[in-house]
Amino acid sequence: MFETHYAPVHAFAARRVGRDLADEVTAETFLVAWRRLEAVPAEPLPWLYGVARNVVLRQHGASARQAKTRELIARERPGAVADDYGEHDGLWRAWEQLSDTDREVLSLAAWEELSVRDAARVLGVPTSVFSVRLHRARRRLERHLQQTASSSIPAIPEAT
Amino acid sequence: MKHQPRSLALLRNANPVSVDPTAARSPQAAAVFAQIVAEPRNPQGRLRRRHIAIRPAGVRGARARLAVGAAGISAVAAAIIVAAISGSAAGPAFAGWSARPTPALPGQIADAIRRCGLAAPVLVEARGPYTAAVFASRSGGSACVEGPSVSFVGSIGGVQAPDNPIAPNQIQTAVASGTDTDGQTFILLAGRVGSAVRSIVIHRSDHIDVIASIKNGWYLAWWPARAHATDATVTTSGGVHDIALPSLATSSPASCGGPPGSGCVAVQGGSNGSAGVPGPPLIGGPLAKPFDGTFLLQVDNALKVLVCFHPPHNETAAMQPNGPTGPCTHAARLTRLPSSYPVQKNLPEVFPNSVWKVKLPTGTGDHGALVFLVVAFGTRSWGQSRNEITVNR
Repeated sequence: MFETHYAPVHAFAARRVGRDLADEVTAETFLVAWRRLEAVPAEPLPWLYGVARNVVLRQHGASARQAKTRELIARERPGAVADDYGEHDGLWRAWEQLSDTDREVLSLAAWEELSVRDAARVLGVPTSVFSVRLHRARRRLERHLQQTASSSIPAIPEAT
Repeated sequence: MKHQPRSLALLRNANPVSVDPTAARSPQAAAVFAQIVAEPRNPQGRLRRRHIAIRPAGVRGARARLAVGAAGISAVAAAIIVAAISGSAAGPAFAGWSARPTPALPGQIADAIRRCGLAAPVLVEARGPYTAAVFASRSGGSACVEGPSVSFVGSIGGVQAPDNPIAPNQIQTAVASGTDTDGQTFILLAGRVGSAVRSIVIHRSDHIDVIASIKNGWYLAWWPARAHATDATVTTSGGVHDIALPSLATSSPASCGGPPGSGCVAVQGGSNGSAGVPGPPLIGGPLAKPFDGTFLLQVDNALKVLVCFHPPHNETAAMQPNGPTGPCTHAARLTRLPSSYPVQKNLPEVFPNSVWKVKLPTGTGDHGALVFLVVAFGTRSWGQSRNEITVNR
């Protein structure tokens, strides 16, 4: 379990608290798993993300987490190809306007690439609740994207 | 093809941290792993903040031990009969040995197996440049260690033949000692393990924990006898257990004696325990601030939980877990958390079937800390556990 899931859990932590603190959050997460081996489900990753999320919430305040995410994004914006700059700039401007809840839902879907069912497990909410949150978060992101759109951003199709 | 909303596709493309597939093999990850498996799986204080210091793999500081009332592991008498020990190329004593199994170099295992002179190992591990293997046979098995300064083969006696199943929580331990070409002693433990045994960590007096390899119902660990091993922590699917090690493993290197090239044999009986039990009751802490005249307590492996209030005016009694207590009440096991209770929403998934609801005694006011004695009753084999908890309001 450790060998298979260390990397994704570490990346999950790094996306939320930065690389410097990700080691600590990851270690704490697997310590909880070690102590609760009998509780770890057959597919452990959503469970581990849920534990890591709790560790982050417990050890790092929301404000520090937001600052870290901004700092991380500013430092490590991917897609550093000239054509992509405008698109990502618009994305991050839109991202900045989202609430913590919206960002959490979107990041689980986009960055952790979890299914609705697994992402709902991470947050401890019913699948239906997560679906609604994701739908609304996407709509809000798309609205912000349209508002901040430059000529380089293609139109966002209506969510289905 | 699955529809990918444009917004999610944009976000995915802008992922600030991609997964590094090599991260789990980094020294940092190895150090974290060694630290974690060296930790007792005591859920007490589970919800308290606890840091793991990142230290070199296999090295740890003093740690709290979990007291287990009843033996859950049955260690069965066994012995390794040393068939042959001989030195090969000279070198520093066990240079490069690792307390935890390491990835083998290309060809390392095949070369060692060839030198062991036995076929079809059931377990093979590397610890730096040293390779050790277990070979099963109709009468038991054999253990072999090959490396720069040692070549050791011993037959494992006293364990049940592989055809005979052993209980899930059982460990059959055989112990031997040998020497390398410089006369430096090493200790080797090997034997069969039940299907519920997940890890075995041997604790040495110099705070280096040796992590055993487990595969195909067998385990093996060996270590330079520079420091003696004190005991071992065995993790099963039912819990964590501290067990005593056979006398040869815990004795000082000198007691084995003998010139280089000799080995000594010990037969060790162990405590008898019940196999297949879930584990001792483990008392954790309160899950949240008291709410609506109740508080939630975390207790694993309990059939019944009794909570006794220590009168706050009697601080001496409150400091003694078995001292006089005030009124006692039975806690109620919750199958799910009440939605109104102010705790993190995903706690039920993380801590299933171990949440107990306790009523606060009447007349204790609304402020200040309350001290409780918690008595958790497990299955008949495991008896009861007691602990004090403090509930801050």
